[in-house]
Amino acid sequence: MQRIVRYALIDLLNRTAAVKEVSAGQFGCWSLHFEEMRFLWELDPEAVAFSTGPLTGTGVPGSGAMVWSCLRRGAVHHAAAEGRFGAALRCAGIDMLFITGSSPQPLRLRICQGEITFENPVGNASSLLAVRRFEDAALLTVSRESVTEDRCFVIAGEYIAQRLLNKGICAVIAEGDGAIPLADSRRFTPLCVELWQEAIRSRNLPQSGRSRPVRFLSAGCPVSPEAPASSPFDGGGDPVFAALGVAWNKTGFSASKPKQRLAQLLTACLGEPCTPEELTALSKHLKALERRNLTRGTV
Amino acid sequence: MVHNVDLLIIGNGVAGNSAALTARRLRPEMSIMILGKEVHPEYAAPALPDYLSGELSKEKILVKTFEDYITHNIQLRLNDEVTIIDPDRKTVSTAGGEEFSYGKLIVATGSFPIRLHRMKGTTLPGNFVLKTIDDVEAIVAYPGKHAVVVGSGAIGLEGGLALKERGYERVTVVEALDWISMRSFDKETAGEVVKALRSNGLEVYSGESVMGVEGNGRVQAVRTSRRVIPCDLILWGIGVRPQVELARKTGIALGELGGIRVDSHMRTNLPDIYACGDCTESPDRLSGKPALNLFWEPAARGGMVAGANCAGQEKEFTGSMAVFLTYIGQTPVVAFGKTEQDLKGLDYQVLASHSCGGYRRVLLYGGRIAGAQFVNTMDGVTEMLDQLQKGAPIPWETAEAGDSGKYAALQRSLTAYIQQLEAPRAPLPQVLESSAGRSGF
Amino acid sequence: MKILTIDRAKCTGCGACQMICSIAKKGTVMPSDARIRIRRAGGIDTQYAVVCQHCAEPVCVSACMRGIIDKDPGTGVVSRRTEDCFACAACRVMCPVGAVTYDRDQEAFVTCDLCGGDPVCVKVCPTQALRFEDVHQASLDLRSKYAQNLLNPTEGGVN
Repeated sequence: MQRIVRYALIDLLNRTAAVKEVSAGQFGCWSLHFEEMRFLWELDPEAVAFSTGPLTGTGVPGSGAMVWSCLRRGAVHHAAAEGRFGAALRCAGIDMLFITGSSPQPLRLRICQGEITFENPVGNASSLLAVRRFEDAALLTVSRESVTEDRCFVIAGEYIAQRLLNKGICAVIAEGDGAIPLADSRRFTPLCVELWQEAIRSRNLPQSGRSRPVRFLSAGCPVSPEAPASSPFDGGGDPVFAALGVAWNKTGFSASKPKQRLAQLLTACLGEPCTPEELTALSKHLKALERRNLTRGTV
Repeated sequence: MVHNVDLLIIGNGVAGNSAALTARRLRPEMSIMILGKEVHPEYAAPALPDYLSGELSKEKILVKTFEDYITHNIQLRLNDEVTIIDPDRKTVSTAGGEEFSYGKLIVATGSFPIRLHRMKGTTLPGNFVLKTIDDVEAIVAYPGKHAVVVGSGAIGLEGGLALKERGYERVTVVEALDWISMRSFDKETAGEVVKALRSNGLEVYSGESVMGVEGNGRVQAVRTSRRVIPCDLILWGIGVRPQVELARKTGIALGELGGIRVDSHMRTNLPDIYACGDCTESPDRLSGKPALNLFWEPAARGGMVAGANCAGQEKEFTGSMAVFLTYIGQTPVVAFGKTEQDLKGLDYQVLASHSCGGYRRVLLYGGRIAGAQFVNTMDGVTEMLDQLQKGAPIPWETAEAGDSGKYAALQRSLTAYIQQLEAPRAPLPQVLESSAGRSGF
Repeated sequence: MKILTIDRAKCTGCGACQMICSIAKKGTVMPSDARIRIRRAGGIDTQYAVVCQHCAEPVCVSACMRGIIDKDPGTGVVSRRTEDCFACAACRVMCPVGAVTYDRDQEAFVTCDLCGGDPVCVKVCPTQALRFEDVHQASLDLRSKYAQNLLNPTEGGVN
């Protein structure tokens, strides 16, 4: 199953960034950067990748899912999370980030309307809000402990955070008013409504307002803001959901017949027929990728 | 022959038409007639610069077609001017010799653009204002390459931009006060607006008055206090005044500012005579005092109130506000409330920053929002305007952490916006490198 | 008439309404052009949803410089002839709740039209903060809540 993926190759040492497009197989999910973009890890074993799935930001319950990837002891390490950053990045016209090299000076990365700028980080949290150009910008701050979105939700833990800090990134802004591709909205809308109705009926929903903030498009139990939300790769959870952009697992929304629903959503989203069998095959493939040792070049 | 009309309206602008439509809705059987000086159906005067630039056709700036008047059963007499109102006999006579008797009369004669008749050269061909469709057509028909815009209100600036779009090689704005639109914004905001004007190809001189117009048989140059600017056309945008000659003659009381004085039901001092729109003065919502806020929105709303009252529904006019709104090319500019000039001598605070893709400036006085100015961003406009009208102190308590839904979302938003605005010394985001325009990896 | 009301105590700013609105009205996921939007002035604690309230005395109707906005005397719905909008932004500036959005495809300012009577956003609100209900009843409920809160102040507050 093909998907057009727009990715940004960011070289922090030379301070360059290039935005490119590729027609990727396997639904264009994080497997892309371990297959077609393998050279990245050879170029920089400390590289950090960030990917969204085709459903990220499309409004389905749990469609705030996104995945961070890096190498850890030669194998793939993931941190999946729920939040606004993936959706905001896609509205900025970019689906994936590949960050290589490192900057001697700390900097702030801004991805705005398809363009990437490296900025001098100045000021405090209020001024991060002030340097937005769009009101729904997603603002990431990187500390030694975590990557935090909008000063509230942790979307990546220590390992990824320290990688980013070592590269010199202390903050990231993603913003834009673009559209996220959707092939067949007529089909998509009722599917989306049905899933939300199911989520509401399940009573597994976040409760009240500001005292217990809820993650973007989340339909699961409110998780503590300090946890990077769903991490389906832990405990043998199925990686296919987060990879494709939805947080559906034990802590997120649990749909009935999830793979079937996912297949229907992807059909409407990508415009090509998608079957649960393809999803099962992808699931197997992603699990296998996790186990492979990349530094020995056997992908 | 005298025509009898239940509701007679003098003026075919937005005030008159709003009155007519409101009355029509309330009283389907009432006879309503509008008398207009121009030949066109109701049109959007604020859109005249777009008509001048060619961006909109005449059809696109009309608010009504002639068919619409028929549909709403509103009689129309155009291209004729009312010369006499007889409040005792309750009749109205026109220059064309018609006479009407009215049940109720609404005076909605609008405003006229200020012209400096006593200045040398201002009656030469090539001097224009931008008030009517006919003005636009006359400007379009007049050959020219270089224009001078006198004044810097919204109409003048938009008119200047329109001339540039029309192909004028050189358009120069000359403003007599220290900086452009000084009554609407502070110096720093004016600086941002001037940047936008310049990037749209206009020249701007401030603190310079026009001393005279020179030319032999037509406009050939403008002489200011500092220089001589050769030009073919002058667009005068130095303000408008209420058109009240007819009212004054009739004995309708005027206020101190020269507009027709009306109560909150839009009634004048004479029985069964109402007035609305640019020809009236109305209480300013922020100061409570009579003001000449000659803008579209108060005229439309004032018309609705007048029409409702004439149709028997007691409605009140809740005052007007001066909101400056224009687009300099793609750049929106919004300003309302007081400027630093208005607060001179008082202990006020300025918060401003380049943020949200543009420039924002807020004036605080007595713990309240006193005024706000925005260039190239509308972030915070709703919250500031709302708070300004409320006149309430800024709810700093909403900024406390751990709020559990106690405070209104709009209020928390307001505090958040203000926190983002720093004192004018804040540095701009420093760009180290950008991917814009680069390709390789 | 029925309007979309938002219970501020329940609205979490999750964004589902904004997404589904753009999908339903524009056929694509373009949240910036949705007619119901989450405003994010500050951080997570200031986000809230805004949507046209079809005010009793709508300022947009008088602000519109082309006179294309009207409140239907029968249904009460505030609607506009979008095809005639020349994007002066007066409605956007004057709207007391900031509910007016610019739609790039139509090149006009737009507001919620209640999906013709069956609003889709209500169906996806996970906390039922967003409701399609009679305006007078909603107003009465809110005022009762305020009164109750004055008598017995709770931590949750009312808004």
